[in-house]
Amino acid sequence: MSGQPAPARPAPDRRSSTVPKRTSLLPKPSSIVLDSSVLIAQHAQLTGTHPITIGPNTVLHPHTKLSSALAPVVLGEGCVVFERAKIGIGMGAEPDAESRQSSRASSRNSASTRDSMRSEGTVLAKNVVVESNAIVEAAEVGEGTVIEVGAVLGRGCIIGKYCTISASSIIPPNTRLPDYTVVFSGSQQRIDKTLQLRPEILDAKVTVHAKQLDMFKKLIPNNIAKWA
Amino acid sequence: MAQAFPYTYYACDCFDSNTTTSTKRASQMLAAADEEDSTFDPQSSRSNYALYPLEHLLYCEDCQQIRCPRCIIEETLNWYCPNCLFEVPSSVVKSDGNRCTRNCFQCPVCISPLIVNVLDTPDTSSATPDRHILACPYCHWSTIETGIEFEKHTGVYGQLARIANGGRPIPTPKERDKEREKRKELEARQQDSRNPLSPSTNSSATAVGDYEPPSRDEVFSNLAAFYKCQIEAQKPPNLFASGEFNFSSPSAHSRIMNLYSTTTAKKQKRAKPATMREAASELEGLTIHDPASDNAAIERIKRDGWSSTLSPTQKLAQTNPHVHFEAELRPIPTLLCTKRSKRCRSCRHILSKPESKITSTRYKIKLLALNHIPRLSIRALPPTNVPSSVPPTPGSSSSSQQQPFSYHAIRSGVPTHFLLHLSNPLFDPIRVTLATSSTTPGKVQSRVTILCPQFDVGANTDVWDDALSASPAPPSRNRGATINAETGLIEAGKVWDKGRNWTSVVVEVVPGFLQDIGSFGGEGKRAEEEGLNDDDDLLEIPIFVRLEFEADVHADERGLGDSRGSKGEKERREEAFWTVVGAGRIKELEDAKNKPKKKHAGDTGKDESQADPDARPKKRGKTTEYAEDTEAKNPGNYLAKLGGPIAMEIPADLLEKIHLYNAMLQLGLPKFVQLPLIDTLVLQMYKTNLSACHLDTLEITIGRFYSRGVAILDPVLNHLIGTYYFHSLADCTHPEPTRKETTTQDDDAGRTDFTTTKRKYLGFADHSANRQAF
Repeated sequence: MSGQPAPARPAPDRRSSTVPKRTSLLPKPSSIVLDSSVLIAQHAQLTGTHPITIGPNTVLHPHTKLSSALAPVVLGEGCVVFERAKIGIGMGAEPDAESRQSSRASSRNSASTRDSMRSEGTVLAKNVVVESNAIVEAAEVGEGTVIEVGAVLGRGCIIGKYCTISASSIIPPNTRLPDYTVVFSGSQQRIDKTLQLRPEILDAKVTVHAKQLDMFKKLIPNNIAKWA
Repeated sequence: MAQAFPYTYYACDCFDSNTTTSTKRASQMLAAADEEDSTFDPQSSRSNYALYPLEHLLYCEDCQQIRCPRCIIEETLNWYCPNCLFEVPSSVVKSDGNRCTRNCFQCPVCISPLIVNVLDTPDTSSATPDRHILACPYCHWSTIETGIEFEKHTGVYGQLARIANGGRPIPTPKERDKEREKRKELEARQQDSRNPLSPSTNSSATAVGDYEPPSRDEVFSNLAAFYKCQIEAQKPPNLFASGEFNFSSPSAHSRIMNLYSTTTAKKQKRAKPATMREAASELEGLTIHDPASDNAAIERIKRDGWSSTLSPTQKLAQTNPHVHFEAELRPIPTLLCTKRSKRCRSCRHILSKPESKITSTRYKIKLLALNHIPRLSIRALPPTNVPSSVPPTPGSSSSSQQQPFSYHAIRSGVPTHFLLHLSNPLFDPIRVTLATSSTTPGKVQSRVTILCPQFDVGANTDVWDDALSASPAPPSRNRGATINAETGLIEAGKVWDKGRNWTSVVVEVVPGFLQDIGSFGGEGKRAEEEGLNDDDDLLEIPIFVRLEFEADVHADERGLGDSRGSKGEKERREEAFWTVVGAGRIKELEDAKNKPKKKHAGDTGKDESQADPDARPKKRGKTTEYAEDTEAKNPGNYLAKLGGPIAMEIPADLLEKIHLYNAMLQLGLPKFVQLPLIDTLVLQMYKTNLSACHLDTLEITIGRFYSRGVAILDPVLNHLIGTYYFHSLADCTHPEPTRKETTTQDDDAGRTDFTTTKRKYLGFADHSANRQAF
C-alpha cells in the first residue's frame, strides 16, 4: 500500500476513486510497530527508513509528521501529538526532500565522527504531549512532559520527567534538562516547579490527561488501517 | 534615528518658550533670535528633543500651534486595574496606593497574571476548608513554593496581607501597636528594677535563641510610631505659636517667633524644645546590621545554588526590594493604569480627552495635528524616460535599469530626485511655500533644490463633492507635462502631480561626500579625518513650510445658528513650522578609501567654469533613460549627463584637474567621458604657470599612461611635451611646491646642475627661455 503525501493540496472531495492516488516519493518506513489502540488521524505522515514504534493509547492528530529518516522514533504510551508537529531527527531542518538528503548525508558524517553514549533516535516516554507546530528532535523526552506550541528541541536533548517547555522556546542541541524543569521566556530561563512538592497535583494532571485521550478517541476518526 | 526611510519629523518650537524672557539676558536673547532665523539643524542635539512624527503631535486651536508631548500638561481622569478592569476611585488610590487591592497579582518570577487555583482535597467532604493558591500559568510558579495557602478565592489581597511566607500570620497594625506598647512597658519596668551589679538578662518570655530580626513591616511600623511620638513632643502647648515649626532643630526663626508669639507680659521661660532624636532601640525601629545574617545568606547560597537567588528585575518589582532568595518572593499586586487628558500648557485648552468608560478606547475631544497640519512625505522619484525619437528597446532598457532605489545607499555626488508629497487635511485650499537652505547643515553637505517652492493644495472636501461638482475635475496631470519634451529636464516652477487634496513636487538633492577629501600634496594637509559619527551620513533635509489660507473666523461655533454673527467671514491665516525630512543614508564611496589620489568633485567654486554646452558628450546609446537635467546647473561643468554614472563637476584647480585626468586614465574611461575634462584641462594649462607640483603630477600621469601601453597621441601629453620647453627654469629646477617668489625671479638667475635634482633629464634645458605670453 502506498503512502500518500500529507500536504494534499486538493480538497478531499476532489479525490475520486478512478484517479490513481499519487505514490509518495518518500521512503516507506521499514517497520511500523503499532499497538492496536493507537489513534492515527487522517493526514498523519509516517516516513523514513528506520523503525517507528508507537505505544498503546497514543493519539496522532492530523498532519503530524513522524520521520525516521535518520534515526528510529519511539512514542511511549499515552502520547499526544498535535497538528503539524514534527517528530524525528532531521525535521528541524528544511523539510524539502533535497535538503533532507543533504542533511542526511551531513548527519551521517557527523554521526560517524560523533560518539554518543546513547543510541540515536527520538524516544518519547509515556504521556508526553507535543503541541502544535513543535519540532522535537530530542533524543529523549521524559514522562509527562508538555512541549508547548512552536517549541523547538534540538538534536540530542535529554529532557527530564514532567517538564514544561513553554511556547516558542528553543532548546539548543545536546542540552540536558533535569526533571520538573520549566523552560520559559526564550531559551534562557529554567525554574523548577511546584509539582515536585505536591504529588497530588501530578495525579490530577494524569487523570486529566487520561480524560483527554478518551475525548480524542471519540472525536477523531482513526485512520490506522493505512499503516497497520 | 532607527526609523524606516523615508520619514518626516515636525519640529515643535516649544523648547525656547519655556523659559520666560525675564530670565534671559539681553545678549542671550539676541543670540536666541539669531538662532531662530537660522536654519533648523537636525543634527544639533537640541533638535533631538524638538522633532516628532506627525502622529505624535497635537494641535491647540486657540493658540493655533502644534503641541508636542513636551508642551502638554497631563491630568489623570481615572485609575483602573488592567487585569480586572475595575475602576478605582481617586480617593481610594490616595489612601490605599496605586495597586489593585482585589485579586490581581503578578507572578514575581515572570510577571504574568496569577490565577487563583483550588487544591483538590481527596475527600470531597467539606470538613476541611478549601485551600486556594495563586499559580502562574506561564512559568508555573505558585504560592505553594513559598508556603502560602488561603481560604477564600476572593479578597486575596487582604488574605495575603495577613500571611507571610511559610504560613506564619502577619500581625495587623493594631496588633502591632498593642504588642509594641506591651514590650515598651516591659522594658521600662526592667530598667527600673535592674540591679546594677547583676548582669543584664533578658527576662522576657522568649528565649534568646528564638530571637528573629524584625521584618521590614515591623521596622516600618515601629519607626512610624516613634516619629509620630517625636512630632507630638515637639508641638508647642499654646495655640498661638506659628505653625511653621522646624521639627528637627530649634532654629532661630522658630525661637524668635516663639518669643514674639506670647504676650510680652508673661515672661515665661520658654524651654528650648528638645531636639528630635533618632531611634535608639529596636522597639523604636532601630536595626543594627548583624553580620550573622550575611553569613546565613551565604550558607544558603552554598546550599541552594545560584538559581535560588533573584535577579535584579525580580527584586525591584517586589514590595520589599531587599529580599534575596526565591523563598522570600511574594506575589506582586498589579499596578493601576490611568486614563489621562492632555491640555495645552499655555492656554489650558483641552487637547485630548478620552471617554471615562474604562473599556472604551474612544476620545471625547481629540485635536490632532494630523487634522490641522498638512502631511509631508517624501519618496524617491524613479527616473523617467525621455520621450526620445528612438524608443528604447526592451532589452537595452532593462539591462541598464538600475536596481530599485535603496534608501540606505544613496550615492554621493549623484543628483537624486525625490518626490515631496503634501496632503491637506483642512477644508480650505492652502497655499504652501517651502524653503530650505541650499546645503544641508552638518558635516556632510548635500545640496538641495526644491524645484517648485510655492504651490497650492486643494481642500479636503468630500470625495462626492468633487465627483458631483459641475466643472469636470481636471484629469490627473500627465507627469510628462512637467518634463520638458525637448530637453528632458524637469521644469522648475511646476508641480509634479496634483490630486484632490494633495500635491507633489520634485526636490533635487545632490548628496555630499562623506569624507571631506582634501587635495593631495598641494596644500600639504590632509583633511581632518575625525571620523563620522553614527548619524552623519543620514540625508536629512530641513524644510520650512509656510501655509497661507483663509479660514472661517468662527469655525468652532458652526452649527449654533447660521444667522448669528458673520458666518461667511473669512480671515487670512498663516502657519509656519520646520520639518525635517529623512531621505536616506549616503553610502560611502568604496574607492575613496584606497587610492591616495582621490577624485575630488569640489563643492566649491564653479564660477570659473567654461560654460560650453558642447562639452557634454553625446547621448550614449545604451543609457537612454537618464534624460533629466536641470537648467539651474551649468551643464558645461559636468563631465556627463546628470543622472548618468559619472556626473561630477570639473574642479577649478588645475592640480585637481590633473588628478582627475590621471584617475580617469587609470580607470580606462572611454574618451568621450574625458573629453570635457581634457578641453578644460588643456585650456587651463595654457593659461597658468605650471609649477613643479603640476609637473610632478603630469609626469606621473605619463608614467601611468605608458605603463598601460596606450597610444601616445594624447592631447594632454602632447601639449605638455610640446610646451615643456617653454616653462620657466625655476619651475623645472625646484621640485618644491609653488613659492610666492617664483614670479619675480629672473630666468637667468641660478644656473643649476640638473644632475643633482630630480629632473636629470632636463639637462638639455640649461639655457633659459623667456616665458611667452599666450
